[in-house]
Amino acid sequence: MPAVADTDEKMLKNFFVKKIENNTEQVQSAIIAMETLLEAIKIDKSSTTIMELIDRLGNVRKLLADIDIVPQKASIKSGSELFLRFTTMMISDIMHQSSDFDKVKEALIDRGAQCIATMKLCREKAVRHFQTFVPESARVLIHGYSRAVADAIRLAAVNGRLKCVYQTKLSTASTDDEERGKFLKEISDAGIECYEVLSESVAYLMERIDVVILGAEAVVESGSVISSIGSYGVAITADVHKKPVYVICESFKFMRSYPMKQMEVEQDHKYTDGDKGHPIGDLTPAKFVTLLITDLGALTPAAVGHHLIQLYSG
Amino acid sequence: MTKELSAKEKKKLEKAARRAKVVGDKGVDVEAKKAEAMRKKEEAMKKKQEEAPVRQASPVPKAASPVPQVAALQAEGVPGRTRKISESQSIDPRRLLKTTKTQQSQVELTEPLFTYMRNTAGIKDTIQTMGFGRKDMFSRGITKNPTQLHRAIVRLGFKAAHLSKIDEREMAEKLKRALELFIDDFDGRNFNDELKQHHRVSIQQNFISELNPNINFISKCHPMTRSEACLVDIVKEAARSRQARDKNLAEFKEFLHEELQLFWKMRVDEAEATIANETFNLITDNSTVLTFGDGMNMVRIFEKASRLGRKFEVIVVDTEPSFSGKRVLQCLTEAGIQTKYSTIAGLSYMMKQTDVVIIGARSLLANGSVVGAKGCGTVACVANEDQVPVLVCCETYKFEDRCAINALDIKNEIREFPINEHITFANIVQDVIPASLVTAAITEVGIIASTSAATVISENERKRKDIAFETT
Repeated sequence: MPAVADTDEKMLKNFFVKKIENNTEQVQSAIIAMETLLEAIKIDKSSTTIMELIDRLGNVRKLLADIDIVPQKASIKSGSELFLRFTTMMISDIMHQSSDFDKVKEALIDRGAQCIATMKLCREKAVRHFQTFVPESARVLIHGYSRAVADAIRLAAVNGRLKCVYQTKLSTASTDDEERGKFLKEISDAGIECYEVLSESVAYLMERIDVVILGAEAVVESGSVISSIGSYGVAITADVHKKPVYVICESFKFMRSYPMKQMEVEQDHKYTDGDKGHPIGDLTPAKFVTLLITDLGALTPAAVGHHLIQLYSG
Repeated sequence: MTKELSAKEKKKLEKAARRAKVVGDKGVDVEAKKAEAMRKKEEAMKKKQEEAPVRQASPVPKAASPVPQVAALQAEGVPGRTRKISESQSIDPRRLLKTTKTQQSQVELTEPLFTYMRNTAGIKDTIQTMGFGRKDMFSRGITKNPTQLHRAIVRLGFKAAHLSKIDEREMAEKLKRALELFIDDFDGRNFNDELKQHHRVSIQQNFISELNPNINFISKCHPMTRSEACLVDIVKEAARSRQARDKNLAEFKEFLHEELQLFWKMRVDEAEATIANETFNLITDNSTVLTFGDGMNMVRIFEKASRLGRKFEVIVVDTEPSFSGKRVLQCLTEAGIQTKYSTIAGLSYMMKQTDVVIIGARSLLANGSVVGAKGCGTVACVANEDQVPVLVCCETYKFEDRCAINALDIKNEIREFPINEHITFANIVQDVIPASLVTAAITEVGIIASTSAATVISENERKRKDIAFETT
């Protein structure tokens, strides 16, 4: 298998890291991974066949999975796998029209850019789909911080459907604390009661909550959701009190793995530092998830498996 | 009126009718004999009614199949269901096979429960009447098998009707061999005879019209499981396909053989190997696996995992009446795997020691339910209570496009299991595990949620249509 040239490798790594750090638009790390892969196609000069190109991209994907800078490794993995899948699909499509390698590459870069542009709109679509699930004067519990959830709440606040928002506070400091603080300030400035609550008090509060909203790191094939630690507990409590649990995520977070227990979730998704310290992610089983609200619409957990099979077997 | 005839009378009338046909035109004698028989019957009936009214609820095997009875009665002029069977014509198995299933059920089963399920009640006698019975093998005068049924199929059906427990995979293999023999012997002999009045009938239609009575016979002898139905479908589809047109006889047969072999190799054998690999990845070292039921599939899978170096323990759970888990136990012990054995009574105790439940399925339905050996629903329930994942191994050719929620399902089957003459055992053969109790299905396309079976089915349909389009 041809290895990515060293210089190319470094360039792509820098590209990726730079984009993550200068992430002013709050683009998801999965999309940044896709952009890196697209960049890899652009700067690739030495491959002469399609298979070589695909091999190169596979290597870049592995490279990205090893970068330690982001805690969100799950979404990077699923995002890059999805992009590779789209690439293969696009290639077989393009090949029908012309088999000249350079033309194929050009067409690929075009379509890849289009694909990424569509992906960027995913969060918006998911947010819009969510609005129908917010009841009037909703009292909402949010666990963990996710940009998709934050956007959804902002939009709901603008539409005037929220009564109050409870945001749980994780017991250890995390990188999202600052952003979360900002988000809460925004919402309370918009006139909605905002409470930051301890994770321990979720069961106590559950009787006065209408809707529970979770973000997702990744969604596995059974419809179970990997998200910030504590989500499992919140979902169990919601189930006992018969409150709906909605997970807002984009469809490129669907992952092709099938963990059945917490122990089977890959280490990368749970820990930031080897397996020392506290885990940062856990698995919420599909039976506790009422609906997954994605850019494809509101899906039941079973639909994730359907979607993945159709995507990866066609 | 007709139903009150006891079995012996019916048989007498049958024999009389048959002899009449053999003898032929000695009309007067025949009439006289029949009148006599009629008189005797009436006398005997009076006696019987005095003796024991309880005898009317006599158990199943004594009743003969309806059609010869009707034929005999018809000849006597007793009003009843009229079906004309000319006297010179021998008993045609096709007509016997046309008796409806529900008619059989109502006549044969004394138990009013579960009559909607498929059953093989009375089949042994039907086979005997058709001339294939054990006792009648060397007697003459009984019908020779008219050209419709192939000998391999008859053998298979006969064996199947007499077995009390059937391993599903073995049956599929036997059916495959029988079909191969059938294809080999197919020679378009009946090309001109029956279809003379039609214009040229193609080899394809001829093949299918010859295959159909055989398949009907088999499905009466023993209700076909999903794997067997799939085999038959493959053969029929290959026969009807566009690629089979314009082939001469030899090419046609070769094509069918190829299709059958390809199907078996890819979707059965290789699929099983892939599933064995996936299962190997799911069994961790020093874990305890619980298995249930009689499939030799699971034995092969566990043997492979053990050969590839995993150390694990297997608990085999078994049920009456056939205790087919004993064979599984024997095979696993011979393969050197540490095994424990328990009947289903000890299930909750064994479940405490289990890490994962892996069972074989006969079919996976579109709503995610799993059809398996009876008792597997219980195993899944108990596993759920103890938070033990339930994994089901199923090749994709066994996926079925229907839904069922529990075992009281119309495609389920009752098989006779004689205990003694006073007890009828409702031996329901299959069980349905609801989708919510199944953690995942292990198939050759990977580990999927059982609810995704419907998508796999539709994807396969789509691909088949694409291929069909491409070859036109």
